[in-house]
Amino acid sequence: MRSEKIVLNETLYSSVKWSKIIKRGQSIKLKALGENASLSAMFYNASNVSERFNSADTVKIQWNAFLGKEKVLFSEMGRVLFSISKDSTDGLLDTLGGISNPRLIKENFEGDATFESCRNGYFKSDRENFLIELGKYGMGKKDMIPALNLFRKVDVKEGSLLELNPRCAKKGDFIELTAHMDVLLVLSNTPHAMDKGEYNPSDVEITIFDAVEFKNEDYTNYSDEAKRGFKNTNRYFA
Amino acid sequence: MTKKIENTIYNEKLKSGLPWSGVIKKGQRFRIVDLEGCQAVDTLFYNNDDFSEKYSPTDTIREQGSIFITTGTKLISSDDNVMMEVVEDTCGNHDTLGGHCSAESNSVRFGLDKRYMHSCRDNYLTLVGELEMSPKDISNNINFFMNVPVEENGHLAIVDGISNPGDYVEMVAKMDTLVLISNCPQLNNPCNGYNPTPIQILIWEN
Repeated sequence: MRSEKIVLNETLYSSVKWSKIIKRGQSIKLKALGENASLSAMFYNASNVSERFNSADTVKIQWNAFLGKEKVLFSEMGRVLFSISKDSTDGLLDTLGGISNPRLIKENFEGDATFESCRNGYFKSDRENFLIELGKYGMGKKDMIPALNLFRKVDVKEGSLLELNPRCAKKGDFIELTAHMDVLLVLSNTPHAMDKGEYNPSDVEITIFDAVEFKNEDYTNYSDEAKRGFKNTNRYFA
Repeated sequence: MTKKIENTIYNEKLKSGLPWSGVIKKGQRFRIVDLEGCQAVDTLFYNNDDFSEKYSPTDTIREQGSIFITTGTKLISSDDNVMMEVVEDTCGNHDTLGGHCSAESNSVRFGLDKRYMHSCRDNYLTLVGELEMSPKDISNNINFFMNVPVEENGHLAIVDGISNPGDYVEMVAKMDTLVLISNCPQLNNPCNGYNPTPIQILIWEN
């Protein structure tokens, strides 16, 4: 059970980057404040950033390319960085599409929205956002990983073809992640890398709940694979 | 120049379970042969002049709109450049999603007692150690000859391989590319038919 005590509540504005260490036992709730939410996330063991989210292990271990409630997000060390403890979006998560870069933003969105023409409303890309935010922790290009995208999903059609699912999160939809290690979480609030049209990612409300001690019943609804991941994680903190 | 075996500048067999590294210069052709069939060849690519630029699985599959590597696939780097282009493929459908096995993921997938077994990540850690690279350089790799179908509901599994003895995949380097290979030692699933086997690596000047 997570705590009801809120330790941080703030808004991640459209197109902006964000980072924070989410402590073991804390939960972070990400709530869409509009109809066009789209976040990209990269995350790391805060105590050893060479341990990081591994999308390949995450989908392979859990036998599914898609993620949702009660799936876990593994590092390459067989440990659980986050569990997806709540999800009102019914699986609007993606590890296939990757992140946007300046070329994609220019190709996919109309308007020449530079800083000179738009000041702080310029069209930022994930790549720029992540490089800047990672730099604050002494990290850089080598630390950019295949990202977790939240509030959008990429379908695999006919066994291989990638398509951005048109469904978006509704206003008020949320995804809640529970940290099982101290996790450095970096977020970029920009359109999905396969999105086109209007550059208008919604603001997202961030709420962090106080840390709890994990109990065995917290793991009940998770798969055997996830449970072994929790064991590996608890071993790390023994 | 005709592409005959005697014209190769490199032609070596790599035994099962072993790591390999080599630089493929711009314009050179690089072939991996699955000698006995149903082997998984875990492969990573780096710009040889700047290892921080590396093969990006997400950029590669998004740009081509498909999760599989086959003839015509351009391997895209994390800096949005083409590293390699696949020009021949007698197998088809090489995997981009499954990543590599490790002691730690084996412990989660197959049981905590499987931690001791040899793995691709051990091979990669050996290579990045020898080359004075960093574990941070190890990202999601391509699994040549590994068969990972994905269903509409996302269900994904590493299933029996479809490569026959002698099947090969061949690429042309578009930049000087460092290649790291782990000839997969996994014994717990059908990625290599529960029986890791040798591969052949060939390089031609173009």
